[in-house]
Amino acid sequence: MSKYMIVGNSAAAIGAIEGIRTVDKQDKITVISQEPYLCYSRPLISYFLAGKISGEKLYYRGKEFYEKNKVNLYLGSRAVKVNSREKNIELEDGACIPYQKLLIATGSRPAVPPVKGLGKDGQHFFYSLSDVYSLRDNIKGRERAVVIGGGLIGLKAAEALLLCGLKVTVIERSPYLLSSILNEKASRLLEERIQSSGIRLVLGNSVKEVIGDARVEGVTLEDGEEIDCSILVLAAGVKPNTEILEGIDAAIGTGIQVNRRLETSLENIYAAGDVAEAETLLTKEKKVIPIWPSAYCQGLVAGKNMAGIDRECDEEFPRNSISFFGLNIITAGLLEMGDKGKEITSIDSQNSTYQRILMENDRVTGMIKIGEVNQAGIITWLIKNKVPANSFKELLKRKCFNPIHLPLSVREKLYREEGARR
Amino acid sequence: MTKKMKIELREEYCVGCGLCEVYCRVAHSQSRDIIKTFKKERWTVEPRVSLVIEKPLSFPLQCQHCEDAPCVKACITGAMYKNELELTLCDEDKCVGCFTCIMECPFGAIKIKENNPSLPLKCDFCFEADEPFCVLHCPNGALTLKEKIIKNVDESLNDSIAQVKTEEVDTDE
Repeated sequence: MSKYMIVGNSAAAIGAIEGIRTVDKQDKITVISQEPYLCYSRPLISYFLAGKISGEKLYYRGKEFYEKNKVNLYLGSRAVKVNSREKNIELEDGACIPYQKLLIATGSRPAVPPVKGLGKDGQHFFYSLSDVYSLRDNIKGRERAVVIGGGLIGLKAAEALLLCGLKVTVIERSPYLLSSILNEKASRLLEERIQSSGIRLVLGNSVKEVIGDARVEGVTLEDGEEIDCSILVLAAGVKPNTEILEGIDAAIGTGIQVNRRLETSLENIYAAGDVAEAETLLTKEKKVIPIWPSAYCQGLVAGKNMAGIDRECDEEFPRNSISFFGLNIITAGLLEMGDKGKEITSIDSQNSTYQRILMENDRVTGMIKIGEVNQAGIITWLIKNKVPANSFKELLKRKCFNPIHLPLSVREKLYREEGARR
Repeated sequence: MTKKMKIELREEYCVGCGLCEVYCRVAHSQSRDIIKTFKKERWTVEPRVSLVIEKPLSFPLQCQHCEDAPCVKACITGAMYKNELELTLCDEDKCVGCFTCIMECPFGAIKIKENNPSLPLKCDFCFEADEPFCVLHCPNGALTLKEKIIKNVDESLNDSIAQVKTEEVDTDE
């Protein structure tokens, strides 16, 4: 019997395997995953579709990873239910597999937007490798694509489709792009870059209906405009896959609720990654933060706890690093500030660079950097460690803000604690 | 446990001469010769450390090869990794230039390559050299080589069972 059971096989699962193996090199680990692939880096699917990387480069760890870590891998199997009293999980085919320690790392799935006429041939999600394989086959000979959603996934899909030679229109309900991580000013810089690439943006509007019989032929927008397309990509956010713990008294909000040890409300069951809802650093709310680095880190800590050593996960906060058509964007922390907040902005629209730092009560709470992103990590560190920043806040205006601008005591703390941090 | 080397920065000794940058270029040039590097290769080889000056202070921003490196943990491709000497290195074949590492590095020690802005650039400890060029050529001991002890697993384990397992792990490889 496997001591450790992991449902899911993406960043959190890999983190957990590595976490378990820092402590326990012997006991068996079983991974059950619905997807038929070895762990691949989900954010890379757009690079793959665009032909920027080969399929081989999608793998997050080498192919020998599972063998090296003594992992029994069951791919293409869906776990449907956890019997927490009997301590086993039930697969789709009815088989029950016992566990001692269980990690739910089932991730999330794309949300379906409220649009009439969905389900036609030519409609795709842009979330998994399977999505990309079918999209790649389906775009052959097609000319026009519409992407619903101007968030991270939608824009990456649009960029890749354009590079595949299609004419692409992105339709976003908000008045500006990436509205979950950018303010309007920053978003306009991105908008310029994307528009100059040839992608058409329709903002502040949404798709009412998909036109066509069996196959997508176009979409009708709320304002009545019709746009021809034969490919439709749905990128309207994601939704945690919590079902496996539903109906058995697990605490579930948007995601499966966990404490800082990644324990769920049920004994011996942990959750990590996009499916988990944990207390966040800056607002202290319980939230799902569906980003790759958090998933890996949560998995790592969950794994260590599962293997019997007591570890707490750092509280997470949103952060993203992404680029579109060569325009680099890094954001971290909060997007909005309270009444007492202060905004420190520097802008150079000629060079498409923009930086906005948010401060509240002496602490840095948010960062947006566009164009020039070098040394963004020091701001991330200030946010993460809630470093009092009043004494050097004027210097935060500089785009090259770096450790030399910190007071000596803070810099000493940085070099002492980070370089050797465990 | 294994002993590994670490470059230690003592900013009070840095005179801002920039020889760390100069010799970093040399170390990563084809010729490994200072004259040839600067006369022939200067525009193709970039330094992996960045001297910053804020008078009267100066020091190079340089990878600390953190034990628990945030850039490695956050890397979306697995390109950023720890080698057997615990050095933090970037596998350029795997990297797609998302710059999550730059978002994470608290030292500002990873930067976008100027010659190829879809890749990051960072200290590689002069290909595992005994003494990296920046240390070798720092004229005032601002960069020195220090031995550090690396443990393979979590220290400060608090229960004895885990303690036993730690020792097993240590002797395992």
